[in-house]
Amino acid sequence: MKTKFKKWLCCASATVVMSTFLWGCGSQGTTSTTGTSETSDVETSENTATTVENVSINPEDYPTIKVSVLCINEPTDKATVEEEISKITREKIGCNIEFVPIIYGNMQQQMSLLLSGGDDLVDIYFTGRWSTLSSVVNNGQAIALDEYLAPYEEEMKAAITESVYNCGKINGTTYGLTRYLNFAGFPVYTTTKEIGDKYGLQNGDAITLDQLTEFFEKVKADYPDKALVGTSSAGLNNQAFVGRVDNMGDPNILGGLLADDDKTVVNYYATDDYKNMVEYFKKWKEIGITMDDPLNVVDRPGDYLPSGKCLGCFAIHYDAASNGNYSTTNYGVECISVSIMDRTVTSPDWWYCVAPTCKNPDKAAAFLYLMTVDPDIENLLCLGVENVHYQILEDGTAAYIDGKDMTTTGWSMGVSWTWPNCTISIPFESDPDYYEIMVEANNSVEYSDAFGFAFDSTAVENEISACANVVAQYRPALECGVPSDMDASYQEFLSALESAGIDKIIEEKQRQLDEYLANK
Amino acid sequence: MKKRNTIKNLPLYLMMVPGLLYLIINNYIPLFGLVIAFKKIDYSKGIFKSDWVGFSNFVYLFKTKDAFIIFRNTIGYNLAFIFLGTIVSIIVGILLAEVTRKTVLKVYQTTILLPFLLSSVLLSYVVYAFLAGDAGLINSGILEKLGLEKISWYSDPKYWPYILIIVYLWKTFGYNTIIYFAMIIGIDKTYYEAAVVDGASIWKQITKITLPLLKPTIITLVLLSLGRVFHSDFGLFYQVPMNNGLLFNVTNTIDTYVFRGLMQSNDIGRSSAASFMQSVLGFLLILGANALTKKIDKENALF
Repeated sequence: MKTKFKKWLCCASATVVMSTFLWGCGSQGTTSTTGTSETSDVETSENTATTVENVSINPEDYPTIKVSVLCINEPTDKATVEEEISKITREKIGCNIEFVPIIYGNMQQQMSLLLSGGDDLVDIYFTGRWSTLSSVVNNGQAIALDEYLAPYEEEMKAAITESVYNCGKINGTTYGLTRYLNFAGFPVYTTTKEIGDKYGLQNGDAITLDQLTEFFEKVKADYPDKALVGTSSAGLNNQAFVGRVDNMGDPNILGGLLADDDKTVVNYYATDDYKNMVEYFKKWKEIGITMDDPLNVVDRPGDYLPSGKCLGCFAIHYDAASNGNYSTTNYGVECISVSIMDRTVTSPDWWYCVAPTCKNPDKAAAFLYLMTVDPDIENLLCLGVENVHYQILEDGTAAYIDGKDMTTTGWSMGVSWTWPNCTISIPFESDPDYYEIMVEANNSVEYSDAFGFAFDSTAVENEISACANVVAQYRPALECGVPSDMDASYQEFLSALESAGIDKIIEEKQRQLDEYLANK
Repeated sequence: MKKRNTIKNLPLYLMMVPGLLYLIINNYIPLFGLVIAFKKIDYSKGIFKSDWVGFSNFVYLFKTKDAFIIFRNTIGYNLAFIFLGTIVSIIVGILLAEVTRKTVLKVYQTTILLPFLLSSVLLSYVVYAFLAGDAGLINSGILEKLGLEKISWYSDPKYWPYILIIVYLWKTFGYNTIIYFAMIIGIDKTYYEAAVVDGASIWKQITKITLPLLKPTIITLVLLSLGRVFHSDFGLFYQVPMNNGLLFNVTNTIDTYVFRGLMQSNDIGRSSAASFMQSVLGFLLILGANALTKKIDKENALF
């Protein structure tokens, strides 16, 4: 009898242990990306989602459109900006705007949860980085917009060019609105001005990979204890460090277009272009450009550049000089950036979509339109309220209110790149001609015929998951020169991709691209 | 007689209600979500109206040669965790039971339990502080001072099975220790007094009294943990090696593979399929192990 009871007691205690484990697993998911969830705001936004048929003068009687906004910290002045924007939207399109803050570090979890509940938690949301346009369309999380956007289409095309407008289409139907930002970028190398001056590099210079390698050699000879490039678990840069290839919206580049052939999808990693890059990775490995354990480096440029632990880093930008200025503002030490390759056009990777739960898709589409063409709206989105969140300087650019910075300001600032058309907003903490240079860079490159093609991955989902694992395993290590035998590791990478089915993905991509080009 | 018992025990049953509610809400109601594993989820149609796709959501788990590695790692690590974890917890539990000063005991209990409360992100930085190539304690504090060559821990997979096992044991042994400790102090003291009178050494007392009396507890805990042999501690395998590609051969488990593969596509059908499979296999394993226990030692089987 006694042992029986003990057994039950033990069972019960073990059950508690188990359920705690389970509960622990669940919470680990969120803690892994820091911060807390933002459900409270979502809840309050639900209460005000009232649709009223007869639009009267009372502001509360207008329907409300809930828009996701990406932020680094929770914006404390959300209500102020909402009210300012709603003043304009009530007058122009007859609705109120409410924001759903998405914290950068929690983007994946928050967006997945917002969209998987059947409730009307968000009307306009962004996709990209946490998922792709084709995935959300595939999952039925985005509605077709053609019907609702029809009245605004021409004006929007004029504002962001027709080819960019068409980037939100899948199989001829518009599901999203991409942002008009830089589509032409190249890898740049950033280092401190001190080092640049010493070795004859100016902010905005263009050099070749060979010259960069030579530069590495010289600097390493003078500073044998210092690293030259800061890395992370993603490799040399937070995006793939590759040559001139259009990844077609897939950060893993499972099938891409080379710069000189925009009709043939190729396995980029098996091309001469990438082989050539691997040769550079080998040379850089020999020079020793990275810190110890490059894939586990947790320092960021803002840490290692001022302290001098590491002398430089890579980034992707459309203009080397602008990137240098950006680095100086953000890394706390005077920096310069030089371009190391020609510009390549890359397909957009950020869209605004309308959720199927949206009760007023016409109003949502109208707000998409305003975000694209209305400078007042765009300024409020990018910068907040004038003299509350930003001030206009003498040269016409915007800056933080004195004494405020990214962490103390009340609005989500410094993420203007997430909004549909920041080029019509006031340049913030940068050169007065910041956006002109961007637009110019966009216009200076040749857009491929495939620009705007969005891949529907349904048929090859299994291969894509397998290949994503392969890329995560080999690419960052190869870039940072970690494997002891680089050539063997590269060959392994290629054969692993092959057995994971990359050919099938490419075949399917090619088939869809041919169809897309034929219907264009 | 029976009825009186029920009435007498009513407060106890009432105490059970919150826990039962929790179980129903948290563990039983979500069971309906299992259908997701067999559907191609379309949010505009909802879960019930989405199309059935049979077993096609499961295919990707077995498709490549990675399948062998992820299953081997998941099961291998878990067996090692169960085996070593049980041994360590019992040893520490017995040692704790020998501590007689109350304050010292409290200090020990708290100390061994603390790592269990660390999140895996914090844990990964604790490990990094030890193993980092330049400033890590082991490299710069020990190996360098002894004039030995530094070891690049994060680029060599061969160290990681040991590192992961040590880290896991350090993090979790406190929790199981408490359970064993509670069982040990519940053992009737007269057994030991009689043993001492008969001249039994401490070792004899442990092997002849403590362990046999702990046997039911050990069997139950092991059987229950066998049910999760196909699940892996995501934080341990993803965060602690810091998602380092070089180490995938020894750190990739079913959970990390699924996470890496599906992160972008946001596909809940296939991720549900993975955990559905893990649960079913775990369930079968428990049934099997229990049947085996029943054959060998009927008294101690779970059910």
